[in-house]
Amino acid sequence: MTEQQIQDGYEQLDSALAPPIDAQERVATRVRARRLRRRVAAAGVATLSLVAVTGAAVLVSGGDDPADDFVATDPPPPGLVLTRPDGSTYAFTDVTVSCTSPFGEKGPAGERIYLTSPRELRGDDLLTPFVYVEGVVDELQGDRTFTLPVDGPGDSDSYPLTLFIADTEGSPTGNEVSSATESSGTVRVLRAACEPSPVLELEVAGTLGSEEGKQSLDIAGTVG
Amino acid sequence: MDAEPVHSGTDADFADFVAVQTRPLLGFAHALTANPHDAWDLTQETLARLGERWGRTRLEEPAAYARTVMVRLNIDRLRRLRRELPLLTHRDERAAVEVVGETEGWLPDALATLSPRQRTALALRYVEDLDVRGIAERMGCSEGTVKSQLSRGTERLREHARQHGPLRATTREG
Repeated sequence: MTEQQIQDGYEQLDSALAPPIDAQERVATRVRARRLRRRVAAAGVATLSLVAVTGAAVLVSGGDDPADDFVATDPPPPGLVLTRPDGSTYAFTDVTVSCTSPFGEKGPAGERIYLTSPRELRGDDLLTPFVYVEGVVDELQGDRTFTLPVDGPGDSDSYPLTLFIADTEGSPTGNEVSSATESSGTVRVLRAACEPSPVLELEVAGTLGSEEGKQSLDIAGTVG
Repeated sequence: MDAEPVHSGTDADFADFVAVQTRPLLGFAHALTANPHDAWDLTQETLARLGERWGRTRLEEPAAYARTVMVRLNIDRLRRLRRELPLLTHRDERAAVEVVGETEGWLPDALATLSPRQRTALALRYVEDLDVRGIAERMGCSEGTVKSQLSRGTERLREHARQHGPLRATTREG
């Protein structure tokens, strides 16, 4: 295979697509959403919601310091509970902890740890919300508490901890939120180890911003 | 009043930038992803991130900056995770991009077998015509890593071409 054949293939790829006719408006919508989220985060706009699942409650209120936004009024609920703006909730109680990437990515043994819920699918449709946590084991030691968002300066490979949730709700076709977007609150690492067996226990109280410019989701509870 | 340069920071300037750059960025994104829908999503996300900064940060070369953003997004672990999850959430973008040329050639199939970093290194070489140092700067990694990605990526392309692409055809004709 010659260099020219590869070059020709790339030229074919380059000319194969045209943007949608409403590309300008689609981009503008995303820009507006990102700007709005940035302003909201910068202004420290108060959020007030009450999470109440299985008899436990966490009061979420606004404040200048995201770490002060969450005041536990009862012990955290068992499992990790997401609460949508309409008040509906979903609890992640069935999770698996592994030191092997669920997506088959290879890396040094024991370097990363993963916590996932079952992915319940019908075809390509996700039937229930899905949680995915990935952390660098060495950076989760010593009773660490992360203030959200956990992002930069590099790409997300370098983040010590990433919390990602795919929700089945959120107009029009679901939502994806993560700890790397404009989020607030904290994630406290209770335990994280690959030996002798994988264990990852987290205490979460926060609001995760949408990766798609959609609604933010409140997340609270313990998991692992 | 004189017209301001494209990167001066007004929304109108950004709209002009989008109008001019969306098509070439989409082509580059196609080379990075080898998938029309992922390409559009990547293009849109790149422009959104640029638009968010437009006016706040002076960008001397916004087109080059957009390509760097796009490259970094393409190899970002979190975005990769989102792409790999079969979710409802991407479906609203499925019908957005328009296919106006050939997307079923051997190269898209071959690129689909590569890792995102290998695809990125090759796209920067063959589409952007960058040397190893330039690719390393765009990807934010060492030159050694780039050489490795290019070598492995090219070998995979050749292997795929031997089995499914132009090299197989050449062999039959010969």
